[in-house]
Amino acid sequence: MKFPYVKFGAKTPEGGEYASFRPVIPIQVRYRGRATRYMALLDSGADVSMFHAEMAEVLGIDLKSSTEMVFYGVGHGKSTGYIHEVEINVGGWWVTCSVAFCPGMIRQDPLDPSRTQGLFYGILGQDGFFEQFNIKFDRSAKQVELSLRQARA
Amino acid sequence: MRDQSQDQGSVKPIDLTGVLKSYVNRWVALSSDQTRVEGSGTTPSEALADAKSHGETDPILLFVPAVSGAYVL
Repeated sequence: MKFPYVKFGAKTPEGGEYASFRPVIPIQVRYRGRATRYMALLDSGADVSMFHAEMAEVLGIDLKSSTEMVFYGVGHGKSTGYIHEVEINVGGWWVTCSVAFCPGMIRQDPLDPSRTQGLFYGILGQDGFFEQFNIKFDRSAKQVELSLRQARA
Repeated sequence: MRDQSQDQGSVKPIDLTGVLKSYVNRWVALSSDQTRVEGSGTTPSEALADAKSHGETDPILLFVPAVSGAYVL
């Protein structure tokens, strides 16, 4: 299944503007029968998948009832997430995947709470997600193609 | 669910920069084809309810931060 790249743009912390086409795809997330759709970045550099903590509430997940994990990014310290196993539908294929629901994906400037900083979408990473799909990025055509590695029993 | 994915041929990139500009600091629910905002709110649940009140049965959630940038993840 082929998906188009999506262009996102916002002000930068320095006051400029930055926009870029990214491999962000629509997915469906399901937990114990409750499902919703969400945008997520195919991030080959991420070890794990991360979703906004706010998505846990939509799915009826008790955020802090599970294992806490600390994650490290380039240049800006660490953040915490809570690991929950969810089902993810991409292009009609359902897979089960552990996801960290992270309160730190949206941060508020303490001096100006209206100045939120963070990501537009969730992140799909290597462990649990990429290992279940063949993924072919085509930046020049601005499209990404996914196929399931193994049919689910 | 009807998004912009396809089995065959090529797909056209989507530009959401203009579409999302008016929704800074809000959760939004996109139309199922990812071209329009059908609902928004301060939480994902509010955005979903707003989209459903506008007749969108299959909305797609995302958050619009005031500040973002070039990420290395």
